[in-house]
Amino acid sequence: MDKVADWKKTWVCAAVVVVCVLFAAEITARALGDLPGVEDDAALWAHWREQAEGAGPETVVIIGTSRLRTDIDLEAWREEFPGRRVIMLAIDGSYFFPVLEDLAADENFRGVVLCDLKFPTVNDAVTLRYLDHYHHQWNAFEKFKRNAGTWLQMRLVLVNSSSLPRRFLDSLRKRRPLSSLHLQVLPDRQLKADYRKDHHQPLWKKNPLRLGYKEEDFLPFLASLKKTGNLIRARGGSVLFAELPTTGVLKEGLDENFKELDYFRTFEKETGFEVLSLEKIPGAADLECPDSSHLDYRDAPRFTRLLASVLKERGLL
Amino acid sequence: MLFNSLSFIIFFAVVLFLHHRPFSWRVRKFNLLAASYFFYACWSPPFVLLLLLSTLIDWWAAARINRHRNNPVLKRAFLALSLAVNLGFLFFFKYGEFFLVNFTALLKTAGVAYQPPGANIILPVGISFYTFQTISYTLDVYHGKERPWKSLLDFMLYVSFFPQLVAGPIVRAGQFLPQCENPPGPARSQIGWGTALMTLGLFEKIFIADFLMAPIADRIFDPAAFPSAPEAWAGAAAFSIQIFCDFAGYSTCAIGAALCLGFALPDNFRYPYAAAGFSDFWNRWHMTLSTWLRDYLYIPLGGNRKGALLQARNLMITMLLGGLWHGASWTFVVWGGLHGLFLYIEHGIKKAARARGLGRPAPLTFAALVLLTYVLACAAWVFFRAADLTQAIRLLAVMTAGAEGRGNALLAPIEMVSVFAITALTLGLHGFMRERDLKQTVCALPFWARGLALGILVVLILGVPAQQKAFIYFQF
Repeated sequence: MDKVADWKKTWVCAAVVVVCVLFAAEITARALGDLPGVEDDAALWAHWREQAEGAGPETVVIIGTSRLRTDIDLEAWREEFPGRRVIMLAIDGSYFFPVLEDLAADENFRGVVLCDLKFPTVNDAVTLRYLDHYHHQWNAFEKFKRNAGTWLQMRLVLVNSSSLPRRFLDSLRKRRPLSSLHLQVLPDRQLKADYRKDHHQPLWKKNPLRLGYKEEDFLPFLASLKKTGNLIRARGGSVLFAELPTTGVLKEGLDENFKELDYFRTFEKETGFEVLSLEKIPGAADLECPDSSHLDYRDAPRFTRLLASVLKERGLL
Repeated sequence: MLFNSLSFIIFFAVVLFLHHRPFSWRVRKFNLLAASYFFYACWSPPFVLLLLLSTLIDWWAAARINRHRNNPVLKRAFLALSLAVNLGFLFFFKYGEFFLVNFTALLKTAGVAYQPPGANIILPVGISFYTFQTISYTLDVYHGKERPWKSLLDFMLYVSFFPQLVAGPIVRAGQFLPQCENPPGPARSQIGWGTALMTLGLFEKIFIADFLMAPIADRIFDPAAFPSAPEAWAGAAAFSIQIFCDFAGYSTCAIGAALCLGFALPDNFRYPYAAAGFSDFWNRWHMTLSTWLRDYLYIPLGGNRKGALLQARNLMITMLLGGLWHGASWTFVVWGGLHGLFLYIEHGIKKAARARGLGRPAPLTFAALVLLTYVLACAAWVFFRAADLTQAIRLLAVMTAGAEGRGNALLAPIEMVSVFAITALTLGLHGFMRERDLKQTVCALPFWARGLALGILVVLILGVPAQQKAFIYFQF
């Protein structure tokens, strides 16, 4: 009843069951359009933040919100700037300033920082959590876990916690419809958004003026931005800002708000940093954002090349 | 390092590999000790010193108690030292802030404005468990039930043995230390059964407690929620299953992990929701704590030997302190008090039944008693889970008097049905297993049926979205 051989056979049988079920689930998930992607977490961010530690002028660090992750195709970027390293540190729905401060605090950092033109209206809780993870929890074991996870997640759909079978279980538990499979996270943190798989719901349904782009906050924000960015510039690095394409009500709202604040002129005048508004990137304004805020992955290489040509023309990179 | 984490799997694989190498028994025990201290240090390295200090003081005090066994004054002095240190640590770290807050509130009611300094005390994980283990050792030596153990290495391993260090079972010295004398035989089947227990424990914790039950219990026990009566009952039932699967899951993992290393730990749960009455419940729920409280608190207080009134007092003191052991909050005290009350009423009913010459109840009456015990235990769990007494009373009012909720449905009908179905399934399973032994029942199955069942458990463990929630009993 309690023999060694019996338990050996039991566990072999269990292993066969596990392998068969997981194999079937993997095949089904892929057949339904799920793609292997990396777990998008604080550890993945910390992995790339570490690469930016003490980076020199040949390194470009991209910080900002999810738009940078979807709109800048890093493969196209590397083709445009073959000699430069590019690091994606943008965080979804988050505000870039704490990351800029963190880079500025790194006394050896002399790289180029490319920022979103986001005004500080979003919560920076996620950014602060990511920074805390990097500075206090990013140890050898975390690195091992992250690297092993990336390796596995790019090979097996099921390993990712947002894979289709897990989403299915989660949707049952939370009584929500199955979330879309349109986003794929690559190991370099680029987000590939395939809107042919999505319902094309606009993210912004209201005029973002209501979000609090207030004039009285604008100048103090620019002053702190200038002070922080100048720390990087003083060491030989640089800080650039780029506007990213938007569509529909979001674009109308932002245009209205930018006009009201005379955003780009004031931004450049007060900070002295280069600001690439869409007007300065010919052709970029024509790109369509299916959800009003992000480009489809098929349009991202085009935008990246348009942005790259402007950066080259102006001698910024 | 949680049992339900990748870091524990890697850690345990390394420990298991080293433990089954042909090193001397002493080296293997030293490896286990080093692994246990590393395991504890993963939470907070400074608190390793606290664990070490508590261990050394008790080992030393027990030796002194034994040396002066013919000198009652010195013997008592060394016991007092051991108790003062252990209970002092426990009081400071676990109850310091609680007493400070209540003391401040008491002064405020007396019209004295007192602002205590911000204490911000961090609770060392597992302190309630290892403190009770070391206290039981010193008390057993004091009462002459145990001889002081000669090997410090063995004693340190007994206090810090990582499978049960942070959340039990609370092991007695007499159960563990004799196992340190000789290496376990080459019974590899223990690894097969041990890993099966670990799988079962993880399934209970990850799939049932965290994935199925916790989201429902969290929604109903949210202080901002106003559930209807059926929802409040569903929330209480969901929490009753969650807390059982969380804690019994941890204990099962601990027993399985220890078994893989060749150590047998005592059972901590024996199908408690099949209990008929509260004495039966406490013979089945957190058994190592209930027997500890019985042996080191209830019986020394006088137990049931000094009349009905003193028995009631002893029961109440034991259960109130048992409640407070779970956490520094009035909700735990009330939970303990309710159990004390239920136990007292049950003793009275049993006494009356005996006086009338009534024997064992008929099967249907017995089933009704089981159900009644479960329902009352569920009501008591409301205090255990609620954020504060106000919320607990509000929920109980909804559950018993049908006070109205705010009309927003918190649970979908399918969730209500699934909670009650899982509860019924659990009660049925506990009823079926009530008089059975798990190992015998599992081993009676053919290997392929066991393999199929274990395979399904592993798939379900791997299938749920990763959460890595800490075990509830870690906070105690």
